Amino acid sequence: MLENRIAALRRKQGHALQFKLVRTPGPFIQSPNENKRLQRGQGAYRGENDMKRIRPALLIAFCLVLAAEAYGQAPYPNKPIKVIVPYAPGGLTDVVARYFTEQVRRILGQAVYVENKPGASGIIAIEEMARARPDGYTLMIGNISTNGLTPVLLAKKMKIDYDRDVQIIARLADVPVFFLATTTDFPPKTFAEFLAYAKANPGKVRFGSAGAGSYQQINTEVLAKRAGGLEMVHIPFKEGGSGILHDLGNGDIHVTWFNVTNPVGMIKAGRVRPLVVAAPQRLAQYPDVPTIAEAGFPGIKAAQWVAAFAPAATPPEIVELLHDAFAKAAASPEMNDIFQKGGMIAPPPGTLADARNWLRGEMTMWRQVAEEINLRLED
Amino acid sequence: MTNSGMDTSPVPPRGQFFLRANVLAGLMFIALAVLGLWLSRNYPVGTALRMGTGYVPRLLCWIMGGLGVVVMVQEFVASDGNILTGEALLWRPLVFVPLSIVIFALTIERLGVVIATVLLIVIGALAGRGMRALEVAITAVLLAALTVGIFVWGLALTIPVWPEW
Amino acid sequence: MYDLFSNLILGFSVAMTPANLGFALVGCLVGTLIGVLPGIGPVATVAMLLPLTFYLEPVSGLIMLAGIFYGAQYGGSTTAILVNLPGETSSVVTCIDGHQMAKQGRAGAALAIAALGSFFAGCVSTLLIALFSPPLAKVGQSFGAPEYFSLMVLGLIAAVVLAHGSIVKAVAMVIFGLLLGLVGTDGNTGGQRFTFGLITLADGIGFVPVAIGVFGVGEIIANLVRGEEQRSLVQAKITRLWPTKEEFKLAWPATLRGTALGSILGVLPGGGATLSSFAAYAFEKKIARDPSRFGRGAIEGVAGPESANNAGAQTSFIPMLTLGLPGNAVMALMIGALTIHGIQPGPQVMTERPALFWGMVASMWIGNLMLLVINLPLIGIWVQLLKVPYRVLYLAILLFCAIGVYTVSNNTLDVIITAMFGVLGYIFIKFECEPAPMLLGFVLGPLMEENLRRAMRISGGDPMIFVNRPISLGLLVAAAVLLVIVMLPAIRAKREEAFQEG
Repeated sequence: MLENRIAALRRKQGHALQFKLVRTPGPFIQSPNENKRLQRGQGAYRGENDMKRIRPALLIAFCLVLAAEAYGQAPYPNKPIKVIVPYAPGGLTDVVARYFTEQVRRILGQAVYVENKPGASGIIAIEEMARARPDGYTLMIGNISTNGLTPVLLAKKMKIDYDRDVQIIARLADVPVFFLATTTDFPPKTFAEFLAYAKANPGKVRFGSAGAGSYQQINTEVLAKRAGGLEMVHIPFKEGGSGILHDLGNGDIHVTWFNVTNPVGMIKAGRVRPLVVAAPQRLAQYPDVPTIAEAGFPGIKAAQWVAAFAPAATPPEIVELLHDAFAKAAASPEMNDIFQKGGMIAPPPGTLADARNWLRGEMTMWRQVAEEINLRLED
Repeated sequence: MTNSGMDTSPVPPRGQFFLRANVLAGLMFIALAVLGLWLSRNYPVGTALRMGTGYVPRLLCWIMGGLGVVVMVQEFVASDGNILTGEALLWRPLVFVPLSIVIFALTIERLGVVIATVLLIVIGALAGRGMRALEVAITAVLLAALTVGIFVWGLALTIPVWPEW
Repeated sequence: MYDLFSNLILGFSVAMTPANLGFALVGCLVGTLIGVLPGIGPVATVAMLLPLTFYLEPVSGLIMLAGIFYGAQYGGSTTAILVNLPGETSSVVTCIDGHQMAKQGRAGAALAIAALGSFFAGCVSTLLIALFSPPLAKVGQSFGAPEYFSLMVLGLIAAVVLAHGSIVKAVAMVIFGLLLGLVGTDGNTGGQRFTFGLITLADGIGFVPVAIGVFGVGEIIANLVRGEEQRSLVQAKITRLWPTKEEFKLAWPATLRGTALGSILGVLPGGGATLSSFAAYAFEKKIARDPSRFGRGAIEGVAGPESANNAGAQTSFIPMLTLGLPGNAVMALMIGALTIHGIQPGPQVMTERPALFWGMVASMWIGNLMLLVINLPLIGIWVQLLKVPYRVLYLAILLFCAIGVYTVSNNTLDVIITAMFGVLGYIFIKFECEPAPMLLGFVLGPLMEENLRRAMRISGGDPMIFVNRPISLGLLVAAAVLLVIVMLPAIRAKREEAFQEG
C-alpha cells in the first residue's frame, strides 16, 4: 500500500537528501526522527498506522449497510417518492407539480418530493425517469412541451424510446392559453385585425417562443399556415416565459401564446392584450376575449396540459394506485381552490385507460401537426 | 521553516526561464487553446455572416493562444515575473483533495450522504499531513451528523442519506 | 405625501403582527444559513416551502419567502470573506478583497462593513420600492436584447479592470471564461460544443461548480501545499471586530455608490443583479485614488459590492410586484405563491390590495433590521471559528463545498466539475492568473451571445440596432470610453519607457 511504498522509497534514498529548497518534513524528506521511526517499523508521521486500522472497520460497516438491503419489503409506498420536474423551480409546471405532490403526500401518507432536473427541453428529466428502477418511487410531472412535443420532435436525441419506455399515470391540469399581442407600436387590437396586419406585412411580425420546437412555435406556425400562409419571424427565448413576457411588454416581439395565469399583471398594466383564448369556452374574467374556435380556428387546441408519468415497466397495481391518488388530489377542495384562483381547468375524471387513450391521441395529433407545418429542427 | 514560496530575487533573464509564473501561464493559455482547437476540429465553421457551431469557439481559441504567446514574450523581454518554487511537486494535496470530491460525487447517490461524507473526509485527510486517525474519525462522524442535521433535516433537501435498500 | 404616510402605517400594522414578525424572523434565519452554506441558494428552499404558503395568509407567505431571499445575500458575504468561497455570483467579488482582509486579521471589520453596507442598501432600496416602483419598472422594461448586449460589452471591459495584474493575462482569462461559457448547445445551429456527448453538459457548465472549484477548492489545495494545516486560517492577530474610523470614512461613499448602482441594475430582469456587484467593484477600483490597494484588502472592495448586491436583490422585487415579471427564479416562485391565492401581481395589487403591497414593503425594512441584528453578533462567532486548526477546518470546508454543489441540481457531474476546477484554480494561483475576470467572462459570454442573436433577429439582421436605440448607444459609448481609460496607462507607460530609452 501507499505507506509501504513511501517507506521503501525512503530506505532507498537514505538519510538527509539535500534539496535546494527548504521545506517542512514530509513524505520525501527525512528528518532524523523520521528515520528512526521508520527503522522501528512505524510510519513516518503520527497518523499513519492508525489509518491502516480504520480500513477494516470501514469495510465491516459497509457490509452491514449492504446487508440491510434485505429489509424493507413493506407494501407500496414505504419510502419517499421522487417526482422529477423538467424545469427549474418557479415555472408554472413546477408550481403545479409542487402543489399536487403536497396533496398526494397527504393522500398516500408518504413523503413525495420534487426534484428539478431542467435541461435539453425535458430530455434529461425524461431519460432519468425512464431509466430509474420501475418500482413506483421515481415519477415525473411534465407538460405539453416536455412530454408531448419533445418526444415527437426530438426523438432522435433521446436515448430511450418514449412510446415504449414511458407511461402516463394521470392528467393533472389543463391551462388555457392566450394569444397575446403587445400594445407597444403594434396597431392590431383584435384577432381579425392581427390576421390582416400579418398578411399585409410579411416578415414584419415577430413572435416569441421558448425555443425551437416549443409549443408556442408549433402553434404559431400552425396558425400561420391555416390562416393562409402568414410569414412571421420566430424569436426563441432560452430563458423561457419571463423573457418572452418582458420583450412582449416593450414591443420587441409582437405576439405569442402564453398561459392565462402569469401575464395578468401585464394585461392590467395595459402593456399586452389578449386577442383570443384557447379554451373550451370564454373565460369568466375575460368575457370580451373570444375563443380560438369562435375566431375561426377550431382545430387549434393549444391548452397547456400538465400530467404525471412513470417508467413503462412499473407494475400495473402501483400505477393504478398512483392514478387514483392523483385523481383524488385533483378532485380535492384545495386543488380546486388553486385551479380556480389560478385560472386552470381541472382534468376530466377518468380511468387510467382513458388517460392512456388521451395521451395516444395527443401524440398522434402532434405528429400530424409537425408533418403539416413541415417543421425541421435545425440540427 | 515554511517557505511561502515566491523568490523575488533578481535572476538573469534566461536562467530558469521555464520556471517563471508568467511563462507557465502563457504556456497554459497556449495549451488550453490547442486543446480547444483540437476538441472543435470537426465543428462546422461557416462564415462570418452565417456562423457555424465552431466559428466563435475557434476564433476565441486563437485569440487566447495568441495572448499566451504575448505573455511569454513579455516575460522574455521584461523578466520581472516571479519564479515558481518547487512546492508544486507536493502532490498529495493536488491528488487527494480532488479525489475526495470525486469519490463523494460517485458515491453519494448510491451509498448515501453519510458514507460519502465519511469517504470524503478520510480521503481528504490523506491530503494533509500529520492527521491522526482518531481526529479524522471524530471529524468524520461529527461532520456526517452535521451534514444530515443541517441539510436533510434542517433544510429538507432531497439528498439520499443511506444506500438504496 | 400624506398618502405615503398612511400607506406606510398600514404596511407596518400588517408587518408587525406577531405572526408576520415571526415569519420574517424564520425567513431571515433560514436565509442567512443558506447564504452561509456554499452552493445552496435561496431557490431550492423557497421552492420547497412553496406548498406551505398555501396554508398561510398571502402576505405572510411572501414575507417569509422574501426573508429567505434577501437573507441569503447577507449570508453569502460571510463565506466569501472568511474562506474565499462564493456561494452565489454576487459574492465572487467580495472574495477578492474580503478574504484578503480576513488574512490580515481584519475579518471582523470586513464582515461588519458587509453587514452595515447591506443594511443601508436594504433601507434605501426599500424606500425606492415604496416611492418609485412604477418609474423604475419602466426603466426595467426599456431594456431589450440590444441594451443588454451593450451592457454586457461594458461589463466585459470592466472585467479587465477587475484584475490587478498583467492586463494581457486578464484578457486571456476573460477569453477562457468566454470559452467555458460556450460549452453546451449552440443556440443558433443546435450543434454541441465541447460537451463530450454528455447530455448534462448540453445546457452548459453551471456557475456554482466553477466558482466553488476555482475559489474554494483551489484555495484549499494551495493552502495545503503551502503547509498551512498546522496553523489556523488567520495568521495575524485579530485586533478588533469593528472597522476603524479610517475604514468607515473610506467605506461609506463606496456604500452609497454601490447602492445606487445595485438599485438600477436590480430592476433589469435576468442578469441585471448579477452584474451589480462586479460593476460596483470595478467602479470603486477605477475611481480610487490608489487602485493598487484593491486585491490586497481595500475596504471599498467589500463595501461597494455588498451594498450593490443587496440593493439589487431588493429592487428585483419591483418588476415582480408591479408587472408580474419575474427577474429571477425566486421571484417566479413568489409569483407562483401569489397565483395560488388568486392574486396576480400587477399594478392592480397596489390599489386592490394595499395591505399586501405595503405590508411587504414594511416587512422588507423590518427584515433588513433583523438581519443586521442577527449578523453583527455572529461576527464574533465566525471569527472564533477561524481559530479552529486548519487541518480540521479544511475538511469541513471541503465537505460543504461538495455538498453545496450537489444540492444545486442533484447532479453528480457538477461535483466532479468542482474537483476539476479545484485543480485548475490551484494552477491559476501558482501561475498568478486572476480567476475573477474568467468568471465574469463565463457568466457574460452566454448571455451576450443570446442577446446578440436575439437583437439581430429582432432587427432582421441589421447591426445598426445597437446604435439606433439610445440606451444601447449610450452603453456602447461608455464601453468605448472605459476601454480607452484602461488602455491609457499602459500606453502612457510604454511612451515613458520609450522616452527614457530614447
